Amino acid sequence: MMAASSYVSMVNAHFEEFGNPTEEQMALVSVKNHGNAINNPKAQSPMKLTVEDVMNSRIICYPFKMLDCCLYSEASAALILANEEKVKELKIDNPIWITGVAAANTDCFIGNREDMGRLYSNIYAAKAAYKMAGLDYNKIKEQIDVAELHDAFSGQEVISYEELGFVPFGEGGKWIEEGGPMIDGELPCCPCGGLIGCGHAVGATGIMSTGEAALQLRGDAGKHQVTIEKGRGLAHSIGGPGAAYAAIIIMENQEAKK
Amino acid sequence: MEFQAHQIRDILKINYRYTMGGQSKFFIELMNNKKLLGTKCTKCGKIWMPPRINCSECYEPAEWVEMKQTGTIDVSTIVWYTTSAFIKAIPYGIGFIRLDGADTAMLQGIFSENLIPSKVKKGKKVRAVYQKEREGKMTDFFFVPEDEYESWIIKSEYEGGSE
Repeated sequence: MMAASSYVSMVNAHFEEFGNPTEEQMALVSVKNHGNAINNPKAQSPMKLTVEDVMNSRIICYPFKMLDCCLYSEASAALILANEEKVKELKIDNPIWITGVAAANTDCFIGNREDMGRLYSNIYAAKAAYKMAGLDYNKIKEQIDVAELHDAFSGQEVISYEELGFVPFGEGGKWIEEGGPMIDGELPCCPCGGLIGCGHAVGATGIMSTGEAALQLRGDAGKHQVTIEKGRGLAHSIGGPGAAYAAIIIMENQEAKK
Repeated sequence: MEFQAHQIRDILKINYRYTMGGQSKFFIELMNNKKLLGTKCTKCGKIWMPPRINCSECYEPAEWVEMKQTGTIDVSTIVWYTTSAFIKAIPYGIGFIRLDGADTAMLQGIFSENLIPSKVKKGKKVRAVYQKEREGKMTDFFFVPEDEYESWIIKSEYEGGSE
Protein backbone atom coordinates (compact mmCIF):
# COMPACT_ATOMS: atom_id res chain seq x y z
CA MET A 1 0.00 0.00 0.00
CA MET A 2 1.42 3.37 -1.01
CA ALA A 3 1.23 6.51 1.06
CA ALA A 4 -1.61 7.85 -1.10
CA SER A 5 -3.79 4.75 -0.73
CA SER A 6 -3.02 4.60 3.00
CA TYR A 7 -4.14 8.21 3.55
CA VAL A 8 -7.08 7.85 1.18
CA SER A 9 -8.37 4.93 3.28
CA MET A 10 -8.62 7.23 6.28
CA VAL A 11 -10.18 10.01 4.22
CA ASN A 12 -12.73 7.67 2.60
CA ALA A 13 -13.65 6.19 5.98
CA HIS A 14 -14.04 9.73 7.36
CA PHE A 15 -16.26 10.64 4.42
CA GLU A 16 -18.41 7.54 5.02
CA GLU A 17 -18.99 8.67 8.59
CA PHE A 18 -19.35 12.43 8.19
CA GLY A 19 -20.05 13.10 4.47
CA ASN A 20 -17.01 15.38 4.62
CA PRO A 21 -14.61 16.35 3.05
CA THR A 22 -16.03 16.32 -0.47
CA GLU A 23 -13.72 16.20 -3.50
CA GLU A 24 -14.25 19.93 -4.05
CA GLN A 25 -13.48 20.75 -0.42
CA MET A 26 -10.24 18.75 -0.67
CA ALA A 27 -9.39 20.58 -3.89
CA LEU A 28 -9.66 23.88 -1.99
CA VAL A 29 -6.73 22.76 0.21
CA SER A 30 -4.63 22.20 -2.90
CA VAL A 31 -5.62 25.61 -4.31
CA LYS A 32 -4.78 27.27 -0.97
CA ASN A 33 -1.43 25.54 -0.37
CA HIS A 34 -0.07 25.74 -3.91
CA GLY A 35 -1.25 29.37 -3.89
CA ASN A 36 0.39 30.19 -0.55
CA ALA A 37 3.64 28.72 -1.91
CA ILE A 38 3.77 31.49 -4.52
CA ASN A 39 4.78 33.87 -1.72
CA ASN A 40 7.37 31.52 -0.25
CA PRO A 41 10.68 31.69 -2.16
CA LYS A 42 11.80 28.35 -0.66
CA ALA A 43 8.70 26.46 -1.82
CA GLN A 44 9.11 23.98 -4.67
CA SER A 45 5.52 23.70 -5.94
CA PRO A 46 4.08 27.22 -6.23
CA MET A 47 1.00 27.19 -8.49
CA LYS A 48 -1.98 29.39 -9.12
CA LEU A 49 -4.83 26.91 -9.42
CA THR A 50 -8.61 26.69 -9.46
CA VAL A 51 -10.76 23.95 -7.92
CA GLU A 52 -11.48 22.86 -11.50
CA ASP A 53 -7.74 22.42 -12.23
CA VAL A 54 -7.43 20.10 -9.23
CA MET A 55 -10.60 18.18 -10.13
CA ASN A 56 -9.31 17.68 -13.69
CA SER A 57 -5.82 16.52 -12.74
CA ARG A 58 -5.16 12.80 -13.25
CA ILE A 59 -6.56 10.44 -10.67
CA ILE A 60 -4.06 8.71 -8.36
CA CYS A 61 -6.36 6.73 -6.10
CA TYR A 62 -9.99 7.59 -5.77
CA PRO A 63 -10.81 10.31 -4.88
CA PHE A 64 -7.27 11.77 -4.66
CA LYS A 65 -6.14 13.50 -7.82
CA MET A 66 -2.52 14.37 -8.62
CA LEU A 67 -2.89 17.91 -7.32
CA ASP A 68 -4.33 16.61 -4.04
CA CYS A 69 -1.00 14.89 -3.37
CA CYS A 70 2.28 16.40 -2.28
CA LEU A 71 5.39 15.74 -4.30
CA TYR A 72 8.16 13.78 -2.60
CA SER A 73 11.17 15.99 -2.61
CA GLU A 74 14.66 16.58 -1.31
CA ALA A 75 15.41 19.48 0.97
CA SER A 76 16.78 20.25 4.39
CA ALA A 77 15.53 22.15 7.39
CA ALA A 78 17.06 23.05 10.73
CA LEU A 79 16.04 24.39 14.10
CA ILE A 80 18.24 25.67 16.91
CA LEU A 81 16.98 24.52 20.27
CA ALA A 82 18.18 25.92 23.56
CA ASN A 83 16.97 26.10 27.13
CA GLU A 84 16.01 29.31 28.90
CA GLU A 85 19.41 29.74 30.60
CA LYS A 86 21.27 29.46 27.32
CA VAL A 87 18.90 31.94 25.67
CA LYS A 88 19.68 34.45 28.45
CA GLU A 89 23.41 33.74 28.35
CA LEU A 90 23.56 34.29 24.59
CA LYS A 91 21.29 37.35 24.92
CA ILE A 92 18.87 36.14 22.23
CA ASP A 93 16.31 38.93 22.05
CA ASN A 94 13.64 37.22 19.91
CA PRO A 95 13.41 33.55 20.88
CA ILE A 96 10.30 31.50 20.21
CA TRP A 97 9.32 29.46 23.25
CA ILE A 98 8.05 25.91 23.07
CA THR A 99 5.22 25.91 25.60
CA GLY A 100 3.50 22.66 24.71
CA VAL A 101 4.73 19.49 23.09
CA ALA A 102 3.13 16.09 22.78
CA ALA A 103 3.25 13.01 20.60
CA ALA A 104 0.96 10.01 20.43
CA ASN A 105 0.65 6.72 18.60
CA THR A 106 -2.24 4.67 17.37
CA ASP A 107 -2.37 1.25 15.65
CA CYS A 108 0.17 1.24 12.81
CA PHE A 109 -1.99 -1.18 10.84
CA ILE A 110 -5.18 0.55 9.71
CA GLY A 111 -6.97 -2.85 9.71
CA ASN A 112 -6.59 -2.96 13.51
CA ARG A 113 -8.44 0.32 13.95
CA GLU A 114 -12.09 0.04 14.85
CA ASP A 115 -12.58 3.62 13.73
CA MET A 116 -10.64 3.96 10.47
CA GLY A 117 -11.89 7.46 9.71
CA ARG A 118 -10.14 9.07 12.68
CA LEU A 119 -6.51 9.39 13.60
CA TYR A 120 -6.72 9.17 17.37
CA SER A 121 -3.03 10.01 17.73
CA ASN A 122 -3.86 13.48 16.36
CA ILE A 123 -6.57 13.98 18.96
CA TYR A 124 -4.47 12.69 21.89
CA ALA A 125 -1.37 14.67 20.88
CA ALA A 126 -3.39 17.85 20.38
CA LYS A 127 -5.15 17.61 23.74
CA ALA A 128 -1.91 16.86 25.59
CA ALA A 129 0.08 19.66 23.89
CA TYR A 130 -2.69 22.23 24.46
CA LYS A 131 -2.96 21.20 28.09
CA MET A 132 0.77 21.66 28.62
CA ALA A 133 0.54 25.12 27.05
CA GLY A 134 -2.52 26.00 29.15
CA LEU A 135 -4.82 26.12 26.13
CA ASP A 136 -8.30 24.74 25.56
CA TYR A 137 -9.01 22.07 22.90
CA ASN A 138 -12.49 23.50 22.32
CA LYS A 139 -11.28 27.09 21.92
CA ILE A 140 -7.91 26.51 20.29
CA LYS A 141 -8.86 28.27 17.05
CA GLU A 142 -9.30 31.52 18.99
CA GLN A 143 -6.08 31.04 20.97
CA ILE A 144 -3.52 30.73 18.16
CA ASP A 145 -2.54 32.85 15.15
CA VAL A 146 -1.15 30.26 12.77
CA ALA A 147 -1.05 26.49 12.23
CA GLU A 148 1.41 24.55 10.11
CA LEU A 149 -0.28 21.22 9.43
CA HIS A 150 0.85 17.95 7.86
CA ASP A 151 -0.90 18.25 4.48
CA ALA A 152 0.79 15.37 2.61
CA PHE A 153 -2.64 14.85 1.06
CA SER A 154 -5.34 17.51 0.81
CA GLY A 155 -8.08 15.46 2.48
CA GLN A 156 -5.91 14.78 5.51
CA GLU A 157 -5.53 18.52 6.16
CA VAL A 158 -9.32 18.91 6.30
CA ILE A 159 -9.59 16.04 8.79
CA SER A 160 -6.81 17.62 10.86
CA TYR A 161 -8.92 20.80 11.27
CA GLU A 162 -11.41 18.59 13.10
CA GLU A 163 -9.01 16.35 15.01
CA LEU A 164 -6.93 19.27 16.24
CA GLY A 165 -10.10 20.92 17.56
CA PHE A 166 -10.34 23.90 15.20
CA VAL A 167 -13.89 22.90 14.19
CA PRO A 168 -16.30 20.13 15.26
CA PHE A 169 -16.13 16.75 13.51
CA GLY A 170 -17.76 16.84 10.11
CA GLU A 171 -17.30 20.59 9.65
CA GLY A 172 -13.74 20.80 8.29
CA GLY A 173 -14.90 20.96 4.68
CA LYS A 174 -17.41 23.69 5.42
CA TRP A 175 -14.72 25.67 7.27
CA ILE A 176 -12.42 25.81 4.24
CA GLU A 177 -15.37 26.73 1.99
CA GLU A 178 -15.94 29.69 4.32
CA GLY A 179 -12.26 30.66 4.05
CA GLY A 180 -11.30 29.81 7.66
CA PRO A 181 -7.83 28.34 6.98
CA MET A 182 -6.95 30.73 4.12
CA ILE A 183 -3.97 33.06 4.55
CA ASP A 184 -6.32 35.94 5.44
CA GLY A 185 -8.83 33.70 7.21
CA GLU A 186 -9.85 33.07 10.80
CA LEU A 187 -6.82 30.79 11.44
CA PRO A 188 -4.33 30.60 8.55
CA CYS A 189 -3.22 27.00 7.99
CA CYS A 190 0.01 26.25 6.09
CA PRO A 191 0.70 29.86 5.02
CA CYS A 192 4.12 28.71 3.72
CA GLY A 193 2.38 26.31 1.34
CA GLY A 194 2.70 23.27 3.58
CA LEU A 195 3.88 19.97 2.16
CA ILE A 196 1.70 20.34 -0.93
CA GLY A 197 3.13 23.75 -1.76
CA CYS A 198 6.71 23.33 -0.53
CA GLY A 199 7.32 19.69 -1.51
CA HIS A 200 7.52 16.86 1.01
CA ALA A 201 11.12 16.15 1.96
CA VAL A 202 10.17 13.23 4.19
CA GLY A 203 11.92 13.53 7.52
CA ALA A 204 12.73 17.22 7.11
CA THR A 205 9.15 18.48 6.80
CA GLY A 206 8.30 18.30 10.49
CA ILE A 207 11.30 20.55 11.15
CA MET A 208 10.25 22.81 8.27
CA SER A 209 6.70 23.18 9.61
CA THR A 210 7.99 23.93 13.11
CA GLY A 211 10.49 26.45 11.74
CA GLU A 212 7.84 28.09 9.58
CA ALA A 213 5.53 28.56 12.58
CA ALA A 214 8.49 30.08 14.47
CA LEU A 215 9.25 32.48 11.59
CA GLN A 216 5.61 33.58 11.56
CA LEU A 217 5.64 34.24 15.32
CA ARG A 218 8.85 36.27 15.00
CA GLY A 219 7.38 38.25 12.11
CA ASP A 220 10.12 36.98 9.79
CA ALA A 221 7.98 35.09 7.26
CA GLY A 222 8.34 37.74 4.55
CA LYS A 223 5.71 37.75 1.83
CA HIS A 224 3.66 34.96 3.41
CA GLN A 225 3.57 36.62 6.85
CA VAL A 226 0.20 36.37 8.61
CA THR A 227 -1.13 38.72 11.26
CA ILE A 228 0.21 37.79 14.70
CA GLU A 229 -2.01 39.03 17.54
CA LYS A 230 -1.92 36.34 20.23
CA GLY A 231 1.73 35.46 19.62
CA ARG A 232 1.00 31.77 19.57
CA GLY A 233 1.30 29.12 16.87
CA LEU A 234 1.07 25.39 16.24
CA ALA A 235 3.13 22.90 14.25
CA HIS A 236 1.81 19.45 13.46
CA SER A 237 3.36 16.41 11.87
CA ILE A 238 2.33 12.81 11.35
CA GLY A 239 4.20 9.81 10.03
CA GLY A 240 4.93 6.13 10.16
CA PRO A 241 2.87 3.28 8.74
CA GLY A 242 -0.77 4.35 8.53
CA ALA A 243 0.37 7.80 9.77
CA ALA A 244 0.05 6.30 13.24
CA TYR A 245 2.42 8.74 14.92
CA ALA A 246 1.40 12.34 15.52
CA ALA A 247 3.36 15.19 17.09
CA ILE A 248 2.16 18.67 17.99
CA ILE A 249 4.20 21.62 19.20
CA ILE A 250 2.77 24.86 20.58
CA MET A 251 5.06 27.88 20.33
CA GLU A 252 4.84 31.39 21.72
CA ASN A 253 6.74 34.53 20.93
CA GLN A 254 8.32 36.87 23.48
CA GLU A 255 5.19 39.03 23.78
CA ALA A 256 2.85 36.11 24.45
CA LYS A 257 5.31 34.65 27.01
CA LYS A 258 5.06 37.84 29.08
CA MET B 1 37.82 23.47 -10.50
CA GLU B 2 34.19 22.45 -10.58
CA PHE B 3 33.49 18.89 -9.43
CA GLN B 4 32.04 16.62 -12.10
CA ALA B 5 30.56 13.25 -11.19
CA HIS B 6 30.92 10.55 -13.83
CA GLN B 7 27.83 8.36 -13.91
CA ILE B 8 27.34 4.93 -15.45
CA ARG B 9 23.90 3.43 -15.90
CA ASP B 10 23.86 -0.19 -14.75
CA ILE B 11 21.55 -2.80 -13.22
CA LEU B 12 22.23 -4.52 -9.92
CA LYS B 13 20.57 -7.90 -9.37
CA ILE B 14 20.29 -9.45 -5.94
CA ASN B 15 19.23 -13.04 -5.30
CA TYR B 16 17.83 -13.57 -1.85
CA ARG B 17 15.37 -15.56 0.22
CA TYR B 18 13.24 -14.30 3.02
CA THR B 19 11.14 -16.16 5.52
CA MET B 20 7.57 -15.48 6.57
CA GLY B 21 8.65 -16.65 10.04
CA GLY B 22 5.86 -17.50 12.44
CA GLN B 23 3.28 -16.49 9.84
CA SER B 24 4.51 -19.13 7.35
CA LYS B 25 1.49 -21.37 7.96
CA PHE B 26 -0.83 -18.72 6.56
CA PHE B 27 1.08 -18.64 3.26
CA ILE B 28 1.48 -22.45 3.06
CA GLU B 29 -2.25 -23.06 3.59
CA LEU B 30 -3.07 -20.32 1.11
CA MET B 31 -0.79 -21.86 -1.52
CA ASN B 32 -1.58 -25.55 -1.00
CA ASN B 33 -5.18 -25.60 0.22
CA LYS B 34 -6.73 -22.23 -0.73
CA LYS B 35 -7.60 -21.67 2.91
CA LEU B 36 -7.44 -18.40 4.84
CA LEU B 37 -6.05 -18.82 8.34
CA GLY B 38 -6.36 -16.28 11.09
CA THR B 39 -5.35 -16.56 14.72
CA LYS B 40 -7.34 -16.47 17.94
CA CYS B 41 -5.88 -15.20 21.18
CA THR B 42 -5.72 -18.00 23.76
CA LYS B 43 -6.57 -15.50 26.52
CA CYS B 44 -8.99 -12.84 25.27
CA GLY B 45 -10.34 -14.72 22.23
CA LYS B 46 -9.81 -11.84 19.81
CA ILE B 47 -9.62 -13.12 16.23
CA TRP B 48 -6.77 -11.57 14.24
CA MET B 49 -6.90 -11.48 10.46
CA PRO B 50 -4.22 -10.99 9.12
CA PRO B 51 -2.90 -13.45 11.72
CA ARG B 52 -0.69 -12.43 14.63
CA ILE B 53 1.43 -15.03 16.38
CA ASN B 54 0.83 -13.25 19.68
CA CYS B 55 -2.21 -11.16 20.52
CA SER B 56 -1.31 -7.50 19.97
CA GLU B 57 -3.51 -6.52 22.90
CA CYS B 58 -2.75 -8.95 25.70
CA TYR B 59 0.54 -10.37 24.29
CA GLU B 60 -0.58 -13.94 24.93
CA PRO B 61 -0.01 -16.63 22.25
CA ALA B 62 -2.66 -16.89 19.56
CA GLU B 63 -3.68 -20.18 17.88
CA TRP B 64 -4.50 -20.84 14.24
CA VAL B 65 -8.15 -20.82 13.17
CA GLU B 66 -9.63 -21.27 9.72
CA MET B 67 -11.53 -18.25 8.52
CA LYS B 68 -14.49 -17.88 6.17
CA GLN B 69 -13.81 -16.99 2.54
CA THR B 70 -16.32 -14.13 2.75
CA GLY B 71 -16.16 -10.72 4.33
CA THR B 72 -17.26 -7.10 4.22
CA ILE B 73 -15.43 -4.05 2.90
CA ASP B 74 -14.57 -1.57 5.68
CA VAL B 75 -13.02 1.03 3.40
CA SER B 76 -11.59 1.03 -0.10
CA THR B 77 -10.12 3.04 -2.95
CA ILE B 78 -9.52 2.53 -6.65
CA VAL B 79 -5.85 2.78 -7.56
CA TRP B 80 -4.82 4.47 -10.84
CA TYR B 81 -1.14 4.99 -10.11
CA THR B 82 1.20 2.67 -8.26
CA THR B 83 4.64 1.07 -8.04
CA SER B 84 6.20 -0.83 -10.96
CA ALA B 85 5.17 -4.19 -9.44
CA PHE B 86 1.45 -3.47 -9.91
CA ILE B 87 1.34 -0.79 -12.61
CA LYS B 88 0.07 -3.24 -15.26
CA ALA B 89 -2.97 -4.09 -13.13
CA ILE B 90 -4.38 -0.55 -12.84
CA PRO B 91 -7.10 0.37 -12.29
CA TYR B 92 -7.82 -1.99 -9.41
CA GLY B 93 -9.54 -1.76 -6.07
CA ILE B 94 -7.74 -2.07 -2.76
CA GLY B 95 -9.27 -1.99 0.65
CA PHE B 96 -9.57 -3.24 4.18
CA ILE B 97 -11.78 -6.32 4.33
CA ARG B 98 -13.17 -7.74 7.54
CA LEU B 99 -13.61 -11.47 7.02
CA ASP B 100 -16.76 -12.85 8.60
CA GLY B 101 -15.95 -13.62 12.22
CA ALA B 102 -12.68 -11.62 12.31
CA ASP B 103 -12.11 -8.74 14.72
CA THR B 104 -9.59 -6.94 12.49
CA ALA B 105 -9.50 -6.11 8.80
CA MET B 106 -7.00 -7.29 6.18
CA LEU B 107 -5.59 -5.25 3.32
CA GLN B 108 -6.16 -6.87 -0.06
CA GLY B 109 -6.95 -6.20 -3.71
CA ILE B 110 -10.61 -5.99 -4.72
CA PHE B 111 -11.31 -6.71 -8.39
CA SER B 112 -14.58 -6.12 -10.17
CA GLU B 113 -15.79 -6.42 -13.74
CA ASN B 114 -17.43 -3.05 -13.29
CA LEU B 115 -14.93 -1.16 -11.18
CA ILE B 116 -16.71 1.95 -9.95
CA PRO B 117 -16.49 3.34 -6.40
CA SER B 118 -20.00 2.20 -5.44
CA LYS B 119 -19.12 -1.42 -6.37
CA VAL B 120 -16.32 -1.61 -3.82
CA LYS B 121 -17.63 0.65 -1.12
CA LYS B 122 -18.03 0.14 2.60
CA GLY B 123 -20.45 -2.59 3.56
CA LYS B 124 -20.19 -4.55 0.28
CA LYS B 125 -19.93 -8.33 0.68
CA VAL B 126 -16.88 -9.88 -0.97
CA ARG B 127 -15.49 -13.39 -1.48
CA ALA B 128 -11.93 -14.62 -2.07
CA VAL B 129 -10.85 -15.80 -5.55
CA TYR B 130 -7.54 -17.64 -6.02
CA GLN B 131 -4.96 -17.76 -8.79
CA LYS B 132 -4.64 -21.30 -10.16
CA GLU B 133 -0.86 -20.90 -10.02
CA ARG B 134 0.08 -19.91 -6.50
CA GLU B 135 3.43 -19.08 -4.95
CA GLY B 136 2.49 -18.57 -1.31
CA LYS B 137 2.22 -14.78 -1.62
CA MET B 138 -0.52 -12.25 -0.91
CA THR B 139 -0.99 -11.88 -4.68
CA ASP B 140 -2.22 -15.52 -4.78
CA PHE B 141 -5.72 -14.28 -4.05
CA PHE B 142 -7.95 -11.26 -4.18
CA PHE B 143 -11.53 -10.38 -3.38
CA VAL B 144 -14.48 -9.85 -5.71
CA PRO B 145 -18.03 -8.64 -4.97
CA GLU B 146 -19.98 -11.70 -3.86
CA ASP B 147 -22.47 -11.39 -6.73
CA GLU B 148 -19.59 -11.58 -9.26
CA TYR B 149 -17.94 -14.63 -7.68
CA GLU B 150 -19.33 -17.25 -10.07
CA SER B 151 -18.25 -15.30 -13.13
CA TRP B 152 -14.67 -14.98 -11.79
CA ILE B 153 -14.06 -18.62 -10.90
CA ILE B 154 -15.05 -19.87 -14.36
CA LYS B 155 -12.10 -17.94 -15.85
CA SER B 156 -9.23 -20.24 -16.79
CA GLU B 157 -6.63 -18.60 -14.52
CA TYR B 158 -8.72 -18.46 -11.33
CA GLU B 159 -10.55 -20.79 -8.99
CA GLY B 160 -12.60 -20.66 -5.82
CA GLY B 161 -11.34 -21.32 -2.30
CA SER B 162 -12.04 -24.36 -0.17
CA GLU B 163 -14.08 -24.14 2.97
